[in-house]
Amino acid sequence: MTAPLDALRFPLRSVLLNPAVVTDFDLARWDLLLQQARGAGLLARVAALLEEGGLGERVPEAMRWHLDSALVVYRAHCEDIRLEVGHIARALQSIGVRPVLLKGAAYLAAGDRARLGRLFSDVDIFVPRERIETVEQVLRWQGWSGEELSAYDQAYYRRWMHEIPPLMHGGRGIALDVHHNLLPLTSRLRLDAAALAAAVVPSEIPGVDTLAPADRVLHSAAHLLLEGEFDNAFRDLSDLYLMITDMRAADPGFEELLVARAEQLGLGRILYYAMRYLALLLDLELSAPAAARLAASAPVAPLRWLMDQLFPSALLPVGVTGAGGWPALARFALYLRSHYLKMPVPLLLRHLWHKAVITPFEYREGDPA
Amino acid sequence: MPQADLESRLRSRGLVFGAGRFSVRLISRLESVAQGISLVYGDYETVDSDFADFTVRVRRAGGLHRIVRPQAEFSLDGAKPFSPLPLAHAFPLLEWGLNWCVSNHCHQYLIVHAAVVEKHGRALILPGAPGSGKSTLCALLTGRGGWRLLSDELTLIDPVNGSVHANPRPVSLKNESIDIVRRELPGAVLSPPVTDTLKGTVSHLQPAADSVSRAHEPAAPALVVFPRFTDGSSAELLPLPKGEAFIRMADNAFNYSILGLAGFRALAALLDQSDCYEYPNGGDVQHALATMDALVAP
Repeated sequence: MTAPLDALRFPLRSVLLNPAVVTDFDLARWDLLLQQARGAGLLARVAALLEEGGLGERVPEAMRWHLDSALVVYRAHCEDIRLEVGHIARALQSIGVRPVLLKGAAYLAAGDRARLGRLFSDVDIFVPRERIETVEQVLRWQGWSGEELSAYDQAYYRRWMHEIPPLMHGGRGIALDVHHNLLPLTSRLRLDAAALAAAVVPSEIPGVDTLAPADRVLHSAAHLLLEGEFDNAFRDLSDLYLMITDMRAADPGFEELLVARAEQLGLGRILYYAMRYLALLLDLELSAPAAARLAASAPVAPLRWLMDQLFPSALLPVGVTGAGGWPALARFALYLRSHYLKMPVPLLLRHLWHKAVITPFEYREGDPA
Repeated sequence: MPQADLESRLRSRGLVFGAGRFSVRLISRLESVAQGISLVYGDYETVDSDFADFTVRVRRAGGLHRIVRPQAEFSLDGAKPFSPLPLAHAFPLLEWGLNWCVSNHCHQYLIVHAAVVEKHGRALILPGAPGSGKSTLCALLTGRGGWRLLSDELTLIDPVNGSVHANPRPVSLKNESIDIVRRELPGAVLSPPVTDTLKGTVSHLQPAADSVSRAHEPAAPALVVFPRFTDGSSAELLPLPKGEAFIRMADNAFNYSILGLAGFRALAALLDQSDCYEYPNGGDVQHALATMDALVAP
């Protein structure tokens, strides 16, 4: 595991941990940083960190426009998201629902450091489950609409998932995912949506809230470790790194609060793995008391051994691990695991059967009869 | 560079060369790619640099297609913007990929979908829908008319002063325009035509060495001419109001919404310095060359 983390071979990691390392970079290192950052969706983040660190002068001429260009896209994205979130808040105000932003949009609205250079294609909101139908109706009246789905896909979302099918507003092109919980209803892990909702905090954008800081970390960790898709895994790991380092700097009691909250929500194991791989891959260690308490959530040794074979390879960028070989197998194994955790086995089999055999022959709106 | 050296670099650490104003590190084991590069990039400098703006790969797609109907795929740092295409389309795929690199990553410019050429220090921008004849016009103006090629596809506008930056790369020719160029420019070097692509038959024309060597020399904006293909004969230029030219160029810009106010100002600065016309283009080569020359007559 140590080889890929070598500073010479993995300048992206070095810069995320300490942007000032670029002062020692030769042109070959900048070149590799550009390739790795672009590949991992982190070029704008690198640009934002270098700008924040006052390191602009250290950037060689050849590299400069790449960073500036990434920042142009990032700033336009922030502006678009702020406007979109404003539209969503106003639409839901009429029915007295204050949406809770999740993931990327939440980092931006909460002013988390994970907002730095973070691009994303959809806004995720969390609303009370009992209001979900009204919320969807109001959004549709205000110009949002969804793709036509087959009856099976509709049922998949509405009976088993934690969100309704994605919506998009007519002329604007930013997808909106409306959640009433943070994990699928069928998942082996259950989350108490009411406990999350009770702790929300106002954001910097009027009319919308975000989850409490510890809950934002836990949601991000759950998403990273349960979703089974690793295209943006290293970027998400970097989000966690930025959030945790920032939140504990602001509040010395944050780490213990985070561990306690994880236990309370039944996410101790998730946090355990997240911290384990943050320590291994990004040198982020919890303080001794918090780590000791979190150790109680550790899996049995053989299971931990197995995860240690899989997660580190899957979480590193493809540009660093290579696209094939063991990392590809590890990603596939974890993809299967995520489905296993998402649904009970009989339901999973039924779902896979439907997707593999029925869907290709299903009649869809617009198909010739 | 001898062909063997070029191929061995392409296969190993990559060949770094100046493709227009950008440096590209290309890694590919495909013969048609090596052949295309040595043919139409003949005048381009290979660079012995540790840094490249874009590290791109063109390789055989994996899976079943390794055996049955082999395909080529293009990637930039792992991102694959296009579906794989038949292996024979590898070289055009590289060219489309390099265009994508520019239009998606170079937001230091306002990027408009238009050809641009220059004569007597005055840039002539030719925006136009596919089929309007802008590439053919661009090939003829630069191949015979004494114009310098800045780009056949992507006009890069400086947001500060509206000047136009050059990115001279092979000119993409489609279908009949390949025959026209062969006929009108007897000495022209073209890549082997590839048939049955999404755009029909495609071939790339090597640009003049003078255009290539002046890749870092910008041009002052002066003229915007929208070619419009017509079945009749080529006609005189029709003056176009600047407001309409503005809207049509903004519609043809790849990153107008990303640049926001800066994009608006760039386009306004450019059009303030430009005369705008529409050109009913019936395919008469002499007429086209004479009409465009008259616009920049000293």
